[in-house]
Amino acid sequence: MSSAQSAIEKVRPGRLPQPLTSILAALLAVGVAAFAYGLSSDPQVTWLAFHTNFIYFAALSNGALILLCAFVIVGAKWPGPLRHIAEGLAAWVPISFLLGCVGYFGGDYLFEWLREGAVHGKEAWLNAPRFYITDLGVLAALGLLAMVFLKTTSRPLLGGGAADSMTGFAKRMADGWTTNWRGDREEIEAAHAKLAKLSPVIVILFAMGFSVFIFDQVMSMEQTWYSNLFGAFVSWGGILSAVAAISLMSVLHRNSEAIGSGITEERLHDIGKMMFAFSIFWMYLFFSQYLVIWYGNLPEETQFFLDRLGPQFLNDKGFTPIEWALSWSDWNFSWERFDQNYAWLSMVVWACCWLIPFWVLLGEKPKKTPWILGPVAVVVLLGFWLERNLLIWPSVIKQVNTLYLGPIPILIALGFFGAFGLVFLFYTRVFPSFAAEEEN
Amino acid sequence: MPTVVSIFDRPSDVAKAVRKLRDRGHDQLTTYSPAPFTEVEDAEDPKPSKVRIFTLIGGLLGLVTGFAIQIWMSLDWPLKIGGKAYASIPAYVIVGFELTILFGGLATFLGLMLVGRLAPGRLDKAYSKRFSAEEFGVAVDCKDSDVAEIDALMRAHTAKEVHVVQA
Repeated sequence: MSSAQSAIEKVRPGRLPQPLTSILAALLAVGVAAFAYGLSSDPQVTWLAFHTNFIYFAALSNGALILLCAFVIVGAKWPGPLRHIAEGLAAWVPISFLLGCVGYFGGDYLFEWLREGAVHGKEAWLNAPRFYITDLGVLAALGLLAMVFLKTTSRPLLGGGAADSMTGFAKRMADGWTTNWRGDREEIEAAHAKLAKLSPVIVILFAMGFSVFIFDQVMSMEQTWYSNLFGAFVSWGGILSAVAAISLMSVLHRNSEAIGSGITEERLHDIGKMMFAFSIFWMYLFFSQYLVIWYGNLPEETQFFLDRLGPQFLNDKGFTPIEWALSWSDWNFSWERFDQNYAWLSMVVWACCWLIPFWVLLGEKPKKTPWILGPVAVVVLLGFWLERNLLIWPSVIKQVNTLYLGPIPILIALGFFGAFGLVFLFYTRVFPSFAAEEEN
Repeated sequence: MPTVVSIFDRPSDVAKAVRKLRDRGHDQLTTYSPAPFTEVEDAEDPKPSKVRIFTLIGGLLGLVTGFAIQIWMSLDWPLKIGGKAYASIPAYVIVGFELTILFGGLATFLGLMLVGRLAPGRLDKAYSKRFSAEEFGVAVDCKDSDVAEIDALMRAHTAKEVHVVQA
């Protein structure tokens, strides 16, 4: 694809596919209804479910945006139409700001320090004005920059008559976005230049801002616990889930009229390699954190893992006779202990986010086979949804470890899924819609 | 068995010539190029290299060595550290992981040398220093009776010179 840089791509406007759109809309309606009902019946569970899904989709869409920026910064040509899939996922970034504003009303149910005051010594950081100004500021800035990014990258695709077949709202938007059209070549060059300036700004803002956002929104739920790596770890989960979503969407769109021809075996291989490699890095980040906490064995650090992994990965065996030491393999392991805390959930997350993607995608053939790559991507996406639950729920609800799978949380999750799907479909089908290389 | 060595300037020509050769059933061929080119590789469509077996064995050996050496040492000279068991697995993962990579990497290097016949011993008869500078080579092992055919074929595919070396 040496001609990728000079190839001219144009949008291929289409319609929202039915019945998929109706199903997603119905899911959204069910989710909103469950949320409204839950607020009166069980606000604690409802807000935790809202928060989990808010974090999951915010991290996923921001991850997609960061991948797009990374493609621009390194001048990547291999993604081809996968880039447009990532754009569709990143279209959620501005919406996560709106959802962050909604979350403001649930703060008391989520953050112990907001309800009862911060622990001594953390008042300067954990207070409502600092918290909401920083976090909503970060979300607003990322949302704004995402919109600028998507508009810049779409403008060259819309002009030159490509949007003629659009109607109504999309047509008006396309006309508005392509004012002062200077011709294909000039527009492509202007977009390249602008994206090259914009991308590093977004990446730096994400690295600094999103880490702080995660510290605030997820880590501070357990206000006495702290970890420097946590922001990067959760953000990395977002990037990996974005890669998994791109893989899944590539597999699903491999027969699509607009971009199907661009989804080649090589591209599936490449995105599969990315998912494989990124899952290793996710495991690496987790282990780096786990190892020092396990070794240090300090109560203020181990509490977080104790709630999630259960006791047997943090056993302090104390001083024991050398006979015991020689039988080092006696780990004192028992399956029953997995029932404590959220240990089973941790095992499932570990399997979904690392074990399965690593061992299944190890070879070349599985990465190139849609029927293997797609299901693995689903497993990873599901694994990260569970991982977000695992990070959030045990901070508040320590005794019962199954509430996150109750009817209200599941319906709220489906509502989020419906909304996310609708945004993706609208972005990729109606406006600005998928772009493909022009044939002439 | 004679080896016909032809020399090319461009990777696309090499790819075409190799495809032609394979179509005619001359599978015993080797290409030489100063840098990796996917088009040449696609045309040659080689079997997976044996080097990866070296990597696998080296990696597993490194993993076992990494854990075994630490467990053995900590049991041989027991020191109580941080209230952990003498031989505690999580702390040993790092050295185990690093030795996997080190041994795997060294074994790959060794495998590359042996399988590619770079060392020890003498280099391929067909190899020339030009292939490490800016030219491409295609070496075909064939029967005496086929030499003339291949010679003509390669010249038809813009080989700039063709010569025969005896194995």
